[in-house]
Amino acid sequence: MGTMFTYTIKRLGQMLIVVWAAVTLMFTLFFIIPGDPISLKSGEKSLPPEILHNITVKYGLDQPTIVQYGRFWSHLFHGDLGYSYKNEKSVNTILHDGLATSGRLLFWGALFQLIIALTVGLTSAIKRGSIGDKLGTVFSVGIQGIPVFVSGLLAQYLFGVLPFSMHWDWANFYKPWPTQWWGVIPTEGWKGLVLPALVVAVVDAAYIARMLRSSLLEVLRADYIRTAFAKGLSARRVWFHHALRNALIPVVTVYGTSLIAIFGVAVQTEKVFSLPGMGSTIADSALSQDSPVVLGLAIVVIAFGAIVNLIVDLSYALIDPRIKVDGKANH
Amino acid sequence: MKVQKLSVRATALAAAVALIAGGSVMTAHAATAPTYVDCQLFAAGEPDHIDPALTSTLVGANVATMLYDGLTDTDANGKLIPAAASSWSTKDGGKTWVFKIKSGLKFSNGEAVTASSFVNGWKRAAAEKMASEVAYHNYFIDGMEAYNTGKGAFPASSVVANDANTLTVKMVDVTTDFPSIAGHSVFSPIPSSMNSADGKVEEDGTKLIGNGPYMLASAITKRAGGEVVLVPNPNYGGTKPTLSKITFKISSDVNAAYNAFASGQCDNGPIPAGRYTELLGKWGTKGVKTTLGTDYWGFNWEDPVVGGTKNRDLRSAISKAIDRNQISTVIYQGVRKPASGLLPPGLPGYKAGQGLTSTRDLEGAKADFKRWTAAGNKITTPIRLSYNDGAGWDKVASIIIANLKDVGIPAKLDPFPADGTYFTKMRQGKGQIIRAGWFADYPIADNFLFPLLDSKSIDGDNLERYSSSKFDALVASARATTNPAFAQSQYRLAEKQALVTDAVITQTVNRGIATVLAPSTSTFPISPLGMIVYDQIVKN
Repeated sequence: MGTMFTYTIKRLGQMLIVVWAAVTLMFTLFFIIPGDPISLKSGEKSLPPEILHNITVKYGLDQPTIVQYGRFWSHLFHGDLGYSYKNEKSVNTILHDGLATSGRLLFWGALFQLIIALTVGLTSAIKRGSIGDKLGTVFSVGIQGIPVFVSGLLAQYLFGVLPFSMHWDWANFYKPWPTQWWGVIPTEGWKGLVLPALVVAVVDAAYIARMLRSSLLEVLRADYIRTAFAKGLSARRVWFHHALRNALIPVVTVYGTSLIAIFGVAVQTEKVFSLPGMGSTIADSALSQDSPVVLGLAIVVIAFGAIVNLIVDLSYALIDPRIKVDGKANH
Repeated sequence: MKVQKLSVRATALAAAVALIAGGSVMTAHAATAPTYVDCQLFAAGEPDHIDPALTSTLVGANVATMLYDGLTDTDANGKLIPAAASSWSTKDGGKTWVFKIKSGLKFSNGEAVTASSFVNGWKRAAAEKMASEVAYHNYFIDGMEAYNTGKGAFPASSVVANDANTLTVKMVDVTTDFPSIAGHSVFSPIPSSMNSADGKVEEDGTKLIGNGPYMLASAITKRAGGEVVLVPNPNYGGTKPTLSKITFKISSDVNAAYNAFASGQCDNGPIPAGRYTELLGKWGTKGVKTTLGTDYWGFNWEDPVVGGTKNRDLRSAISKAIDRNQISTVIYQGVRKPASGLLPPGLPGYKAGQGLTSTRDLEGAKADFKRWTAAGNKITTPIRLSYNDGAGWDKVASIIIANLKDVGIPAKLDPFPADGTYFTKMRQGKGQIIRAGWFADYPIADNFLFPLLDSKSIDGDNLERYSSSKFDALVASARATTNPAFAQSQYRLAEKQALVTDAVITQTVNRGIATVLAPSTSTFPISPLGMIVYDQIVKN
């Protein structure tokens, strides 16, 4: 246990360095790329220099880069991520609001993903060569090739526009995102959750399902599985206690990576469904060079990725006692 | 056999997932008629602000106009009408204006709207620390520019509350159009509770207090996926609004926004590009309106091939070659109509036919081009049609290139990255034929002609870097006169000078708004300034 604790602390330390390096890199990039957030405010209609100067001073952008960098970290240590150049909204508030929505979308997306992957993967492996297996393959290959903005709009049409035009409100799932929650459970308007979460889920669910199928089939060929059947153990015990547990190790790695990748999918999904999450905010803010928002959100995204990686690493030891957290195996 | 049982369980699990996802599928309701909620969709971009002192976007200003009534307003025909002011007058031809404020007006918190409310509102909006993007509209007022730039105190002698109902405003120069300008949201009044409010006041729905037909119901979220909810202002002094609640939903994708409308989430929605004919045919055309905006292409006045007086025949040939009807029908499916001048229909002083032509004149174009080449000119590399990429302008440019090919003028697409720097680069003279457009801030000719074509606007919105002493003199005389009719005639001459004599820009289409509406919407007024008059929407 002591080893695991030390390992965790060490990894958290590494995570802080990664966050610092990534934020510093992004901060630098904002000063290198062409244009600046203030001059970008002049669009079809130009703003007088006096107006641009007032805005520049307001956000402290008239200060040298190093001063701005120091101020950013100083404010960060005090828990203040600054204000959006675009609409003066507090980045802390944007994070607070956005994280809740994105977190719920990610939770339900990940849950749906797991359920779909397990269902399809298990069915395909158990009924290898069956129509169900073939359908699973088609589903896996087909769904992965569809971009989110296409699958999102298609889902909106099939489960929103079409049922509404046919007066089938029961089948209309394109509803506003729920506004009342108990944790991650929507307490009203749950229908609005289903389509975005499914769109997030299906992209990597197919890949994980294929991975589970392959892994299971490989494990099922192992001697100890045949031995287990020969000893008269029930199919349920062999499948779930012996086969599935071993087959899950590579799947957990993929699932962990997928959780990070889901973040990218969620960005597009939030955009397509206009959800008030962090994803659409990141995309919009990056385009308008709204650096306080992008940097604030980047800290969260990078930390999230690092934490998920850490949890995945730690979970290896829980799933397979032969594996130690420091990467060395017991023999 | 055991494997089969497992398979059955897996199938059951899948069914459970379907049940969770499908939910009410198992409790199927009978088919019901579509029902809509009182909701409006923003899909043209999120509002930057809804604080009238700060908002610079059409969508933000549209909400601000529901929260605040300024001194004046514009009716559906573009005519100036009273709002909080009952009347206005000038005794010195437009150098000083006196507005009479209606009695009995109140903010939503019950405080009376007086002349001082306007003084305080203008003082706040132009304050240097507010750093408002729209504060420059105050520069017409004597001393306001110095105040906004921190070089002077608030010009208390230029914006004076003589009594509760009288507001006197002293201008820098004669400004005969100031009553129209005063309709801009930056000239809104504020209650005393907002005198020292900064730009973050709108975060809290209880603190942004106005005198308009509606008031904020809750704190707002201005980002995509957010909402702004308005309810009627119980103290409103004008005609009571018809809708008991308006929910503005902010969408970041026009296709998703249309789908949200078509799924019953909102009463109106945007139309995705290329689907105008289909969707207006399906939902009706009540939500279509031509607005005070014009799209045009300008010629870089400093370019050796297309600029200057010596290349006037080439510019004329290009202008005559363009098929504006094709652009209108193919790209905008009739929503944006072919324009005949820079000033749009509906603008006071508008006169049709101020441009070289509004219809295609292929023979005229060929003759002009022949005359230009006969003078020893030639095109060695295709002329560049510069535009900001990613906004669909390539389609318009492609039509023009095909049009020019018929005349024998070689041209090519010249896309600039969609990184927001296009207009900055054009201001620096990097374009050749420049894609541009303008939407009125207020319904006056000067709002088009001065910023777009006056030599004082070079490095600003005069993207062509056009410099004509004749044009400048005409605009200057229009600005200086105390005779509105003479001013209009001078503006018309200035428009002719730029569009015909110098042919420095060529207009294509007048802008328009097109939204799809739920069948229950019987009245959906849109002002020429592109503002949906939400308080006058009528539903069956």
